[in-house]
Formats: sequence, structure tokens, C-alpha cells
Amino acid sequence: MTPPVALYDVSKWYGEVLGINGITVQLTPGVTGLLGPNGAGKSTLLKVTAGLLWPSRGRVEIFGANPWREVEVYRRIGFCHDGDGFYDALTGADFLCASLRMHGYARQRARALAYEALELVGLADEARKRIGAYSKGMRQRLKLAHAVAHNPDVILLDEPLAGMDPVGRRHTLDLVARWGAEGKTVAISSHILHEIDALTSNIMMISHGRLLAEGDVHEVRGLLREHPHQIYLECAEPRALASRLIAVEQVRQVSLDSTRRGILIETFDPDAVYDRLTQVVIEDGVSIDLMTSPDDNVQAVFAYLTRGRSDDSG
Amino acid sequence: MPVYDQHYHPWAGKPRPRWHRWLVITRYHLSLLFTGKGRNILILILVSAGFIHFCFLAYVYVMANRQILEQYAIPVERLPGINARFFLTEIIAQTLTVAILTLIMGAGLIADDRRDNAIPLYLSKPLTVTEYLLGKLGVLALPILGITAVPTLLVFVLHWLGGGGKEFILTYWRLPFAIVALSVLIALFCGALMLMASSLVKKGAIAGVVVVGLFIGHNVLAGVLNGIFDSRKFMIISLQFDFYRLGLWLFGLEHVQEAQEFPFSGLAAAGVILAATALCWAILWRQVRPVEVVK
Repeated sequence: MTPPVALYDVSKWYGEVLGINGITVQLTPGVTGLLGPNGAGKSTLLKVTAGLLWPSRGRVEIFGANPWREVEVYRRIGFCHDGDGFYDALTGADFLCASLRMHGYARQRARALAYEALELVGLADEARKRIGAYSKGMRQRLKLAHAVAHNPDVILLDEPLAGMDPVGRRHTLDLVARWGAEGKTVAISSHILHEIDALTSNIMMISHGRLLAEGDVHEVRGLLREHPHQIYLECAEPRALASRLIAVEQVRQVSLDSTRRGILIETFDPDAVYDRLTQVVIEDGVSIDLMTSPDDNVQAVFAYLTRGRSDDSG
Repeated sequence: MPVYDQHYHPWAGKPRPRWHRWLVITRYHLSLLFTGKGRNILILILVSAGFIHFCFLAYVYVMANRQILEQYAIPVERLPGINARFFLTEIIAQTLTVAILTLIMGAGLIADDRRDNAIPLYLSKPLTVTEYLLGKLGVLALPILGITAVPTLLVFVLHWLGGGGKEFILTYWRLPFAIVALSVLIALFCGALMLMASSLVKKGAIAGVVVVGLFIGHNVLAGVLNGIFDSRKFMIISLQFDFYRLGLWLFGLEHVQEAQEFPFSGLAAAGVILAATALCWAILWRQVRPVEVVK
């Protein structure tokens, strides 16, 4: 089956400046988080994917078509770009209506779809207001409506949460999750890692124009063998528990966090430690109040992946 | 891990024909221009253009009712007739209006999109760069044709029906084609020049200055070269003269003295105009990109 989005060895240079380098990746239905710091190449990658930038090398396919050459494929793509370009004199509804008419919809259908999209992003009450009077957050939501009003199969969102208030962010993340669950292929970029962490575990990490890792964040974490896994526990008797755990062969290090009654365990074999921990809890009757994996998340994985690079460059 | 529904939802709309879509850009831009701050100025310009045509129409009416002139003892035989030159003059009389309209309506067409980084809004649709440019060109070309070809053809038809009769149409059957051809070339050239200037900058006002500068500059250049070489052949550089020469050719006025005095043919003038239009179009093609790359 042809993947909805496929990039093969794609590079983009702006003169002598590297945008992205040698990226080969396939996006499948569901939400993929595109993560990286500012200037990492996230926007370039999305623009190349959307056919708005010509790749210097490699090829991009959306449903098997080259988006740069075959513009009809844009009917199936929704792109929310990072710019803020609108026609301030138009109302939100008119702007979306014009956009949909460019997709080939007849006037009445375009108007109906425009109102549906505005309703979806929570701008129905502002539909007849001029865009010039919209706040930054409302403009972001309008961009989102613009990207999805024509019911695309592939949705590319470049920093859609920037400038939104917390309620707007929550609403947008819910929408993105919904589109992913509906079977749409959604790529969402952000440099705020915890937002994406809450949305999806399927990630692409990019830094300095290079793809660092892609796939399920937990699987990616498992592949980082040079960094021991961390397990954090809180219980009533942390010292006693620590003394038992240090004896476990797979435990590399145990440190106490006396102020918070916590223990931080480092291990290269977390599954074995979890098994042993269960035995200890049963045998000793230890009551554990909290257990987390502080480095099994997007932020920690990204930090591990970029640490060496930062050290190199620094 | 959720198990996703793997099938794709097909696009449900019925698309309009491809050629139709760029007209959306034209239509919305025109509605923006005529609802924006400059609406009154645009209306004033269009009324001025209409007034000029009204004068020509009044002349046609008076010539069809000569007794009016005779009442005031005006010698009808000394007045210019309604012929090819009359209709050429009617179009040429709109030159200034066309120039002002082009500057006012066209200066910000692409410059504003570049300033606001709005070009991706268009090019993330099923539209090519050519269709985007056609949509913008339509914003200028339609009003230009509306003040040149349309009213001139109307005056032609009214004269034919009002007093010219069969003899007039048999003599001047090619005039409607000439009127349309000259008007279309004016619209294409003015549109391409203005859009080109607009694509070079991010402020509409500067685009206007660029166009005025080019207009004055190339005429000065033609004059200087004519002076240096003591020749009139460099008149061909001046697009103003090219359009006039082309008009004389298209309207079948090759035999008049004015045409004879030009050191170049109507065909050569057409070549220069088409080359200039193509150059503007080529620059436009180079300038308009979906994403502005800042190096």
C-alpha cells in the first residue's frame, strides 16, 4: 500500500545554508509529532513535504504523487503554515469561502464548509468579523480551519499552537488527536516537547536539519543503550528499599532523594528491575506511593539525542 | 496503541474546471478593492473613463443627427468622420486612465502578499504559480478591458445600428477585432509590468514608483539615443510610440502620413511589446515562489 506521505533522501539547502539533510521517512495514518528546537529544520521539512519548497535532492511523494508538480494532490493536503498572512479586510467566513472556492467547490458548498470549519475550531461566533480584528490566538485557529476546511487526508501543521491561550491549546490538541483517530495522516511540529508528549508517542526528532530518531518514543528510548533508564520511586522507607534494590544485579546505581522520600534507580535492564521490584514489594510488604520513569518521555529522549551534538558544537 | 482505520477518506467535492479556479482570486481581489479605502478613487477614475466614452458616443449621436449641427451653423463636412481613426483615438484617449488605474489597483497585488507571507495561502491549494499570476493579472486586465474594449465596441455597434448602416460595417468589419486586439495587448502589457514591479518589492507604493520610473526612464533613453545618433529609429524603444504604431497598423491606417513617418513597422512594434511583456512575465515567474527564502 502506498504510504500517504513518503520522503526519500530529501535534502534542502538555501544556498550554502543547510535546511534539512538526507531525510528518509514515511508518515502513516495517525498523529506524528515533529520535534526539534527553533531552527532545526521542522518548517523546511513540512514545506518540502507540502510541495511548497523544491527539495535540492531526493523526492517527496504524497499518495504517490509529487506535490511540487501535481498540484491536484493539494485537494488531499491541508497545510497550516507558520506565517501570519491574511487579508485583514475579509471576514473569517469570506476568507475560508474564497480558499475553498480555489479548491473547486461551488459557492454554496464552500460557504457551508467554511462555517463547519469555523465551528470546529471554535470561531463560529466570529465568522462575520473582519480578520483584522482577530487576536493572535483567533488567527491561529483560523489558520487551522483553513488547513482542514476541505477535509484533507494529510494535515501538515507547522507550530499551530504558537500564540494560543491554554484553552485554545487544549482544544487544538483534542482536534488533532481526533483527526489522527479518524485515520488522517497528521504531522504537527512544535519545539515545546511536552505538548506533543501529551498528544502522541509517534515522533520524529530533528536537529540541525538531520533526523535524529523516528517512531514510538518508548521504543526510541529503549534503543538509547548508552543512557541507563531511570526509575523514580516514593515510599515511606526509602533507605530500606534502596538497600534491597542495590543488591539487584541489574541495578547500576541508586540515589536517595531524602527531601521527597524518593529513590532514583538507574538500570540498563528496566524490565528485570520491575520484576525484582515486584518481588521486593511482596516479600517485604513495602508500600510504594509513586513510581515513574523520568527519562522515558519525549523531553528526556530528545535531551539524550541532542546532548552529544550540543557538546560537539559547544 | 490505538489501531487506526487504514482507509482514506476520498475528497467529496465536485471540482470546478481547472481554468475556472484562478478567477476566484480575481473576483475576491476586485471585491476587496471596491470595498476598501480606495473605493472612491477607483469609482472616480471609472467615471472619468466613462465620461470620455460618453463624449465619443455623443459625437456619434450628433453625427447621426446632423440637423442639430446645422441648426448651429456648424460646418459638418469639416468635422472628422467616424472611421478607423475615430475608434483608435477613443482607445488612445484612455491611456492616462489606464495608467492611473494600473498604478492604483496593481501596485500592492503581489507586494502585499510578499509582505504578509501570504503566497503559501494560494499555492497550498490546487493552483499553480501560473494560475496565481493569472488571477492577479485578471484584477488589472478586466477593468482595463472594461474601460477600453467594451465601451469602444459599444460605440462601434451603436454607430453601426444608429447611422453607419451596411456600408459602414462592410468598410470597417475588421475594426472590432482591432479594438479587441489593441485593448488586450494594452491590458496584458500593463498588467504584466505592474505585477512584475509588485513582485520585486514588499511595498505597493514602491512598486508604483518603479513603474513610473521605468515609464519615464525608457522614454528618456529613447530620446537620448535618438539625439546622440541623430536618428528617429530609437523611437522603437518607447512603448508609448510602439502602442500607437501598433494601433495604426491594427486599425488599417498604414496609409496615413503619421504611419509613414514612423521608422519601424507595426509588426516590429508588436514584437517589442510582446517581448517586453514576455520579459515581465519571466521576471514574475522567477520572483513568485510559494515560500520566501531569506538568505
